[in-house]
Amino acid sequence: MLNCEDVQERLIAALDEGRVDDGVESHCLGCASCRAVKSQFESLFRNLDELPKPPFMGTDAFVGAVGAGRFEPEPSRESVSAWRAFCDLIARWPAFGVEMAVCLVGIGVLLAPGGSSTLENSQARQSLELLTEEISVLNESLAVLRLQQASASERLRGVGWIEANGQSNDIIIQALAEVLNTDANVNVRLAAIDALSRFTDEGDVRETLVGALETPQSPLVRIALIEALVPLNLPSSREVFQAIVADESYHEAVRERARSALGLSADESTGGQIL
Amino acid sequence: MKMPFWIALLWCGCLLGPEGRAASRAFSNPEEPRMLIVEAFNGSVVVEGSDFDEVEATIGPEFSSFLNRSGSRLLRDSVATSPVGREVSIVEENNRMTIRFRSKGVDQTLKVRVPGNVNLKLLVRGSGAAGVNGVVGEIEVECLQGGIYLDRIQGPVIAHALNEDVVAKFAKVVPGNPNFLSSLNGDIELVVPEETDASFQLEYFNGEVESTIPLTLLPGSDLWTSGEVGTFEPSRVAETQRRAIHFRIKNHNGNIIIRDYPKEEANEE
Repeated sequence: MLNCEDVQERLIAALDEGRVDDGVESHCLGCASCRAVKSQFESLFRNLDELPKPPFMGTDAFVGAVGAGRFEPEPSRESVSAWRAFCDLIARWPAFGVEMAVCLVGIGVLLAPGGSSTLENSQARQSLELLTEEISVLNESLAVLRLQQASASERLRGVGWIEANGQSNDIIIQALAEVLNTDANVNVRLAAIDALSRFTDEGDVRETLVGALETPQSPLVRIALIEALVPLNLPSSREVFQAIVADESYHEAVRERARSALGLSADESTGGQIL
Repeated sequence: MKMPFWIALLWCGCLLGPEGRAASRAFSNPEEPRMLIVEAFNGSVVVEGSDFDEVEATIGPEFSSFLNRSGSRLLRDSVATSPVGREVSIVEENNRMTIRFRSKGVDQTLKVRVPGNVNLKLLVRGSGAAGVNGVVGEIEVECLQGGIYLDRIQGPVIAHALNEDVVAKFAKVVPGNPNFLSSLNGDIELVVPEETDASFQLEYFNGEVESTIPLTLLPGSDLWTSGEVGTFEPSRVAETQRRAIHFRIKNHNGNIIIRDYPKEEANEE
């Protein structure tokens, strides 16, 4: 029967090979701490494997492009080896390298002989918490990196991860706001609205959603924004709805939703289903 | 009857007219991932995947309706085409190729033959429709006025039609890829091989959901109810438990139709 120390030693190597043995699995089933660590590592390895491949360039051109900040990875459906993606990420984001170094230190503390012989030891527990938190930050960084990719599916993946796992912080909210206002793809913007809707307790998010209604948007995005704003019942959003209703340049479907949001002419809304 | 010399000369002149041959271009490095962007400012576009490494563009007559609700293969027959002229520009750099098409009239279709595993971004900004057949890379499609018809694809697919239908028929669905289909005014039809273990997140407002695949909905899903009079009713959301193959479909004025087709037919594709 494996103990926590054994599991920790085996876990990283097992995930890198893509195979977790039965002993580790059955230990994690019964140990919440190890299960949490395993889940975090799995998420990290999955993100690293799914990073897009850099464009094909000669070495000089590549180094020059990175130095000039013009590096834009091309979309790729081929999976990249975790190590190669890891090296590319550190070259591009030195801060990521620092975060990884902290993680590795955390792993070293956990695995060092006599340093953390049992998770009941408070020092080991703190190290584990630090490690878990750092992995979470790494995953967030990777998700934000995805939002800058040329591939719409990569950006959608990044938004999807944030919606499912992201914590409310300035970086995440700013990244999502940028996607909502500037992304070239309608569906990616729609996904960003759903992700932002998780954080509507934040004042910035509410302002972002109202502001986005007044920027150039596809009609379907505007409708989604209206639907996200109605439950918040903001005075500022009501003003924008009124402006939309009054302005015939907006798509009729958008004006109809804004009208409905204001409680005006309810009998004009959808094909009999609502009324 | 012997053809007068001047008629023969005229006939040859027509064959070798100012348009010349089909426009074609190769990617810089066929071994690396390739990205093709097609932007049409007027007219329709049909993109056909093939075993050829070069991209070839020709122009054909009006895009006819490729929709076949019985589930049989779409875009089976190629339309007859003629060589391109100044309507088409093709630029390629570092495995990223951009084709711009400005049709002389709304009844023209740009037909593009591409390597099957290219990643495709197709934007039809004018009044035309978009068709994609046999492209197994990532597909990103947006259509302003016309419909979107995708056949023999594998995903990921991210498609948005503003004023028409979206039809996507998968030959195979690759797990782990995000797929998102949306439309403001039109039906959305998703066709997958039978026994595809997929999950769905469906949002719809003014329309119905039909599915030949049993949907085991999560608690809180809202498929068939209607709202109270006088209240603001948001779009209905119906979700199933998340799987590795996941489809998100968002529709405003139109139905959502999900169908599966026999594996034998998929194997024939």
